[in-house]
Amino acid sequence: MTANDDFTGMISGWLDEKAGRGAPGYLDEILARTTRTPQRPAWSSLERWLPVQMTFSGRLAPIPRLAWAIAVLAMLVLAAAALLAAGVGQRRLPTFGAAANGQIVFIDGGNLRVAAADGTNERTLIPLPDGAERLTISPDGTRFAYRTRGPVPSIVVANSDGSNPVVVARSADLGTGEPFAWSPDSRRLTYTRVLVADRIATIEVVDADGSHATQLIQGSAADATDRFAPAWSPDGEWISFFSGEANGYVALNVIHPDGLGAQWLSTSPMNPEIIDMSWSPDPAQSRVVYVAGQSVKMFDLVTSKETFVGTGFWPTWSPDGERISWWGLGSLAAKVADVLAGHARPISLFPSFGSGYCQDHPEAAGKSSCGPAHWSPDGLFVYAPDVAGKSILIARSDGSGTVRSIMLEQPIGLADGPGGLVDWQAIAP
Amino acid sequence: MQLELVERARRGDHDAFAALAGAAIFRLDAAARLILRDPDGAKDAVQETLVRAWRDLPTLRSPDRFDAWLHRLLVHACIDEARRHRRQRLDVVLNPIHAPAIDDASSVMADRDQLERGFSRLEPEARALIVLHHYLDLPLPEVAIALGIPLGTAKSRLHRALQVMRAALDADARPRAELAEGRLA
Repeated sequence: MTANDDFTGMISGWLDEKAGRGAPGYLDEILARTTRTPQRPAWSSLERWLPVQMTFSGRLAPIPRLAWAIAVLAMLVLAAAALLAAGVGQRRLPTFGAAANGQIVFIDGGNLRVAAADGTNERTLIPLPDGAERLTISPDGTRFAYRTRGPVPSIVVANSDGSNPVVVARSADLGTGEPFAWSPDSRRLTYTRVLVADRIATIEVVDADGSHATQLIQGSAADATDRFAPAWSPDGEWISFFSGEANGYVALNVIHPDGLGAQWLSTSPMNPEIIDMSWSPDPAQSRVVYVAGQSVKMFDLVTSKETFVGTGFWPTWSPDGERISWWGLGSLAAKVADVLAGHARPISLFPSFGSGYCQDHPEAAGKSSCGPAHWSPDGLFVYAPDVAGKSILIARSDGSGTVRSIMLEQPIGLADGPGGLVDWQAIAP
Repeated sequence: MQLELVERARRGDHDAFAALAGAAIFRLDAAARLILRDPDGAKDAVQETLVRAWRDLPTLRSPDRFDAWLHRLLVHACIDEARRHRRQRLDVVLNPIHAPAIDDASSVMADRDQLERGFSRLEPEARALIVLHHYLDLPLPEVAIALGIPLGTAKSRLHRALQVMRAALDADARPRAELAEGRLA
């Protein structure tokens, strides 16, 4: 028997002991209530009428040539109108590379709060539903999205000032806490849907206004393969996702956003207990970093070459794609060129508390990080929650200078993973 | 036998539903008390679960999935209850996943207080995951369905939740000297 078996056995025993043996005495009370409660008719469930899956089926029927011409003409007119309305000479975000730093946006208790790029001028932007999570700003910086929790979770998109919130997906099948991702053009989102009836999870894409929800992969009970945690490639050509494998490991896959060309990537098998991946922001590179076992590895989709980055987890990229950060006895960062050359020289981004667990080090609260280091849009700073989840730490990405912090009114609950409560808006330089 | 009761209850047979509820209430109550750590809140959550089960039973598509459906209703009811009565957010921290494993598990077997401390650090969703898997003995695919999350996510979250509980034990069991030495598994 292993120490792990001992430990889980101990938990089972402790739960049994705590649960006790006495039957509750309120069954009659409940049955009195149910006697007075009418049942919903079977036909009142939409699921009995609508197919649960919205399966991508490619082109269903040939479209007449005249319709195509009218559609193209209409699109050209609309595009011209949009250009006039927006102002052709307006500064735009670079499609790749460093941008300027906008506001730091974070979920703090029941509020969406913002702070200036230097951590000052904190204020509440809007109240959010209790349990809102997975905050993510669109790549163009104009909107943000978050997920609500509860029996029927939803994904909500709003303008960066908090106005015009739109529910783009709402279903009991959305999977509480599951990540979702923006397309690089900020027009669509991809997310996981758990098909309870078929006992699998799969990937969907939806426009940012909530229209055109499409299931990318048709799942089935016979298939019984989970697909989850989608992420969009920076060139917009691929959506990556994890799949549960029969051997108990997790594999990385990619598929085109139109549901075609699914490919299984020949990476090292990934332990399902530590699942994480991130695309290089450089669209010319087609690289991802991920966690396999205790190692952070990089995979080149063109050459299928895998490169060891470092021991640890929580990998992220700098916005110019030239550096990778990860956690390994604290937050570290190394140049991709050095990693590829086989002599990574990682620097420490935040003061390390040494070995052990975050909560063993209360003396490091407000100084040492405990979570993935994310990068400011200009690449000059990194930020992460502190070991106590009570503040957001901001440090220079070259490891120099002092660490600044934004105190949180409500501590971040880190047990489900620290991601998704803070994001940094990119604006045009 | 249970399938027959479910079919009858779906057609409005309240006696059949009473039999189903009677068979389930102990495990529902125990699981709710473990998840919420509050007997009154657990009673409310179980009431809500069974009232919803009765009300929505005719819409259940697969009667053979009655138990899984009931667990799903219970988890949602518990999480709702926890949110309604949340007085203050728990100060929860995440331990590094590669942190050292317990060298001698038997040395901490008796320390129930530390398990309690670790368990209380978890959010209700994480407590539900542990209770469904380690108390109700549901296999992880069933737990994932009950929580409405992919299996891979269930594995990942269970791992993190157990690490938080393990850390609570380990923090007190580990001599301070080891910390100073910078031990890493």
